[in-house]
Amino acid sequence: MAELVLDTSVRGAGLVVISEGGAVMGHRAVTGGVGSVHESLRDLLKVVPSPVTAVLVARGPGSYIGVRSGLAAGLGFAQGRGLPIHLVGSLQVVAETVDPVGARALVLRSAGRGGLLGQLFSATEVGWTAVSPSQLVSQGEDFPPSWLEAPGVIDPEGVASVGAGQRRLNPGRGLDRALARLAAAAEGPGVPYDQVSADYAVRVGAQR
Amino acid sequence: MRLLAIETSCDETAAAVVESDWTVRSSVVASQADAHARYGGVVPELAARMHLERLGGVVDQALEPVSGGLTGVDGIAVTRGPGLVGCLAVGVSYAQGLALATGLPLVGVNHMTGHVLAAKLAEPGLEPPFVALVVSGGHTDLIHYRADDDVVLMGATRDDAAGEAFDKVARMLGLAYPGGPEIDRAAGSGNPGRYRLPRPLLPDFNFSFSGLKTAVLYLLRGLDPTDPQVVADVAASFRLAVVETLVAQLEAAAESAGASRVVVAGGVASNGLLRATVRERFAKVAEVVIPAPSLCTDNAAMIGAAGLVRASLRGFDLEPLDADPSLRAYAA
Ligand SMILES: [Zn+2]
Repeated sequence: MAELVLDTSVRGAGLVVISEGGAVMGHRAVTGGVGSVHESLRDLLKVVPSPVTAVLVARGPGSYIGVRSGLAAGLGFAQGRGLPIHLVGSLQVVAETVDPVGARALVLRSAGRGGLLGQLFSATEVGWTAVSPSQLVSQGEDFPPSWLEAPGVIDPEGVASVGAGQRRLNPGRGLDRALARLAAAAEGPGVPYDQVSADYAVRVGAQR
Repeated sequence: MRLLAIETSCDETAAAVVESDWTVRSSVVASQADAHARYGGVVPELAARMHLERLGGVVDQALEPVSGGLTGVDGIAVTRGPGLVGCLAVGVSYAQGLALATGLPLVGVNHMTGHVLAAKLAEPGLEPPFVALVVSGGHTDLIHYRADDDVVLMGATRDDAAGEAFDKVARMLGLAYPGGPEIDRAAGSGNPGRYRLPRPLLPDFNFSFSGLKTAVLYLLRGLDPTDPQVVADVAASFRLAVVETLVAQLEAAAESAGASRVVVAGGVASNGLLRATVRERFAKVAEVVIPAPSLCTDNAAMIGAAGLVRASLRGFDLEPLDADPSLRAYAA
């Protein structure tokens, strides 16, 4: 019983994790192109003895090629073995590095070219639950008002300064452990193989 | 040997199962043409998104006639380039995931070699050497296919590919995208002798279609493009000019190479006038192989054919593949 978890949504810093019941059995960084996802996954499968029984993939938002490569590799692996495939938002993964505290938190991550990705989460007994879609704010654009009202800010890259009344929530665990916990929580038949899709984030500027 | 083949380099999501005796067991193509039509061309991000959403279903469908599904195939072939980077990344990553899950060996294929080797599926007896005209939305090439590991580019377009010229002239005529089939349809009721358009013949078997495109632009200034007969006549005159240019250069290349076999491949090779003209001109001088239209437009059966050739030549790929959007056409 093991779950394969892929998060290649961060350019040059993707991860392949094999988890069992929320614990990390092994992980490998994915630092290169498409071939490197394959290489990391292949190496990891060699050293983890348990058969993989499910797949979890971070569906973005994030690196254009990274998200698509990870989703496609996860889909190919799941379909090749007839395993369920689960999807999780990439900002949910970041949220999961922090124990749920307070009422609400804004998760921020760099989108490259000065842009920011953000999503609001609410703390529950089982973890963080998304309460907004993931949003993209391009360089020079204003933050959505709801971002400024969130009491907590999870911003591991330090991409923004916190506003008055907001406080930083610091990660208590690494991305590999966050992914392993999310894998343990993902149950059921998963997503049909013909309904695997990436999260592209809502463009805030374009909405106005 | 039986290969599952996957093609996602542009706007067709395709999978096929091909046998080493060149039998096509299945060939499934999910076209995205309708989704891109309203933008007048392929939108790369939309294409990559649609590949991801469709690939799982398309592969399942391609495996349907194979008893045992994936356990009934011996390897996987996938297009690794040239093409759109996000689209290639989806196909290559998916194939790698599938290969790791099943233990099947993987072979990366050049999309343009796939177009040429679709000819093996049409005529299994076809052996090199031959001269091939490869015409598509992105390429207009004349190649001397001397052996499976010895392909020489004799000539290519200096500007627009033939398929691109069809798209642009279709837009000038108020016709939809993709332009090739639309111009073909309009030309059906047109007089190809009504307007005399240039036949640009460059030295060294090269092509240039931008001058022809500009000639159509100037021609239309003096005409009423809302008149259906004008549209039909311009379409027919343009199509004839393109076809005569392509065939003239193919004749010159075949003669120079001393070829007794010629192949016409690529999406534009589904054009009825081009097919008929090549067959007529070469009737007495060379064996002509032109795959069925469904094997000329992008498909995965052709990737399977090229995968079979490459695997028999060099074996399967032992190291992880990378998608290579700018892979040189016909490179091994
Ligand atoms: Zn093509």
